[in-house]
Amino acid sequence: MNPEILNRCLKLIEEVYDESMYGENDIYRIKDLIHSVDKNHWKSKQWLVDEFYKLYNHDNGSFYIGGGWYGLLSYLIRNAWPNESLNITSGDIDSRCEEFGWKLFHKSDINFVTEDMVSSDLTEYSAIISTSCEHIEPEILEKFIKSKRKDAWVVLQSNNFYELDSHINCFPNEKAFANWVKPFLDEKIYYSGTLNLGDFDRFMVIGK
Amino acid sequence: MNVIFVKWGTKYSSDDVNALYNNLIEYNSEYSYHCYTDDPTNLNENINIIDIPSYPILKKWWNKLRMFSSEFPVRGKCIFFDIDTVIKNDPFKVLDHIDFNKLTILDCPWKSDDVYNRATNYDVRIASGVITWTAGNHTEMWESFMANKDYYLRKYKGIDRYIAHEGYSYNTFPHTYIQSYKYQKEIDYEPAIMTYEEVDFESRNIK
Repeated sequence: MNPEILNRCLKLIEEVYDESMYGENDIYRIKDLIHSVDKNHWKSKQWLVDEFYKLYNHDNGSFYIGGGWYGLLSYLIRNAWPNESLNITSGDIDSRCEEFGWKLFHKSDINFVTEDMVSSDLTEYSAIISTSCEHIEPEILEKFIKSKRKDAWVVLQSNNFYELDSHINCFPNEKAFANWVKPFLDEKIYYSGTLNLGDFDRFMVIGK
Repeated sequence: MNVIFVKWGTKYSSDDVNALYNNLIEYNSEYSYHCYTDDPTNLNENINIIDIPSYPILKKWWNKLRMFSSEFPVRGKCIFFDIDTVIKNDPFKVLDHIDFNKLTILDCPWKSDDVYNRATNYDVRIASGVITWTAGNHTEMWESFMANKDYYLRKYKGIDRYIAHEGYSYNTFPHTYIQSYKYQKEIDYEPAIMTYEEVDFESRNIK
């Protein structure tokens, strides 16, 4: 992990603890923050950036990250596309993600917004991305994919880690995930892959 | 009075629901019995089926929270029982002393260890094995949950912790209403129900 990000994360953890003493008592945020930058998340999001970078083949455009959490994916995307002509919007329904995202990644020119991933106009984006598909109801995910511009990319990740209560949309394997995504695309799947993360696999589909 | 069961997945069967229903109608067969379920196959025909909708997808006990949705198709006074509840004595006698304007939930006096009070633990001294309320009240519990569902699913292990730590107020049943199979081997009162929290229901001959 980048030492600067680690340092900001630690400062934020201190803030959450202090806040729990005098204001909003939500110290679970500490665990949630730590989870959001753990090794597996870093690895799976970097995998997305590496594969999508090869396919996207442009310096400009605008990416929308649905269910962007505290912004790690947006930060890694910005590292790969440092050019200002590539706009990055990270949306999450949890308002604290916007607040913490700014604090963690304020130097990365990311537009953090609090909103449902299907509530805004997605036709302005050249790519819509979500690595949180295992947390998202199929009908919401379908709406998300169908809301994109016809020529826009869609990049999605899910997994086969069924055990968690919050994992309500897992898939048994890469093929099952790709087969589910395919009917909602305007063109085709350009990439699908599997990343083994020890106890479970993460699947990725990139298409148009 | 509405008597409600929630059956999701395969941990409990329709036979388990029917067994509880048969126990309960010994004490009152006039009440309306409902089962909120994703699979009504083989449920007793006298139990009204309320289908679990396809949206939102909730696992396990989280489905119990939807009883507090304004769209839940039940009106009036309600009592909910977990399926792994065993009826020992009349469980409805207590209802004369219940304030149905409030949420009433089981107290767990056996949870006496200090660990339950630790802020980091998000544990509780209550249990939602039996709940009473009036339908249409407490809808804010469902609405707030839905506004940030994924975070709450990560934060809390179940609805008891969600209710207690999100600051919703509740009354509790008298201690003598309940006996814990796991924690209260010997008691000096006649409980209405026995609960089996964290005990493998299928391994017990309790039907």
